Amino acid sequence: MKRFFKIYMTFTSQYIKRLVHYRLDFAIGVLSFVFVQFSGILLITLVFQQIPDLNGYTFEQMVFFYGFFQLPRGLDHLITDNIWLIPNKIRKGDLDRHLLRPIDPCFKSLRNVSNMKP
Amino acid sequence: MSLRPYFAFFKAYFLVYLAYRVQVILWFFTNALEIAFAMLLWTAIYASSSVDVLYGFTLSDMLLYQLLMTLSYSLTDMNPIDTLYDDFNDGKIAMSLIKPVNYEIQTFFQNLGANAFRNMVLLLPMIGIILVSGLLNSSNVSLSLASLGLFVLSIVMGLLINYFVKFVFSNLVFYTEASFGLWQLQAIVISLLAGGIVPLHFFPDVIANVLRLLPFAYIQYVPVMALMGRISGSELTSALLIQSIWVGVLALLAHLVWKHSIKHMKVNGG
Repeated sequence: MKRFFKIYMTFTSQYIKRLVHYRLDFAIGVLSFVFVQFSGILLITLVFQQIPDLNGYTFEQMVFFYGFFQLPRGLDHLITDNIWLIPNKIRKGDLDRHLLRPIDPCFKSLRNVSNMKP
Repeated sequence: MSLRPYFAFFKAYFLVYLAYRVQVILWFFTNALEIAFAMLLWTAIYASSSVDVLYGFTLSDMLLYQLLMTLSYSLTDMNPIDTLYDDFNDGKIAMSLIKPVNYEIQTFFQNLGANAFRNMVLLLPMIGIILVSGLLNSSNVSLSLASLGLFVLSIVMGLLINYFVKFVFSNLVFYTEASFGLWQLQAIVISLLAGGIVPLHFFPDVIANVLRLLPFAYIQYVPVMALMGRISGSELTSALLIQSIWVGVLALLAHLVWKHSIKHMKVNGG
């Protein structure tokens, strides 16, 4: 367990280094997630201009719900993102390489670091 | 110039998707779930409203709008950013550029192949759902050959606009050297401004009028509104005219941007 945690932290630091390398894309990505949240709130706002409440829930409560449901999503993006990339690896024959490593390929895929250059 | 060689690219992408058939079934369920959630949400919203008509839409209008938007999204969906980034990332683009085919047309046909396969599978069930739901009758949409023909014409131009907008956007890949952020940004900006999240007439008038002039409204919103009979007569003529002008302008812009970016492209490795 301790080993896994240590490896995970190493991967994470590599991953962040990679994100920082593509600085402009990283900034655009952050900006676009702001837009995603903005459009969610916008939908709620525009709808609530026409109706007083939704099945007894007021605007503030709906926004709270919306925010609360974004929490697990945020945690997922923060900790376990990139698992969805595994099918791509299988298709490109990339997974074979990961299978040869002494770490579980699924665990390794939590952080999509292919070239480790510490 | 003959377009014949490019049908090979079309066919290749078509066959790639054919090879992963299960993915298509999953697409179908994803779409079905999304539609179901949207419909439940709007039903609840209309049930909570004291009036029957919101922004000129009754409940069945709104449900039909959601269905048609999903349909037109599927019909106009193109993803040149994936093609461009993949080619750029593994250096294949250098090989493609020295071959005697036009890279811009090649990318277009590859995306068209993927689009054609997806619609071959999804189109019939979607049309089936729309017909079976009976929403066409309850929202007083009269379908005729002329209105369907105009819808098809408009959706084809919508596809071209969507493709060229995204192609211009995709060229930023050569500067950022990564596609993650760009992909997210183009997806959300286009779906927000094209009326995919909120119908455009839900926005305050000032914003809605500006949005109607931007190309994004002509990807899905205008074709769908034309089919629903909300845009008709001289309004429809001018909408189609603006749409065709946008196709021309964006095609030219895409070509100029591409000419500029291949001169400045740096491929690391490959």
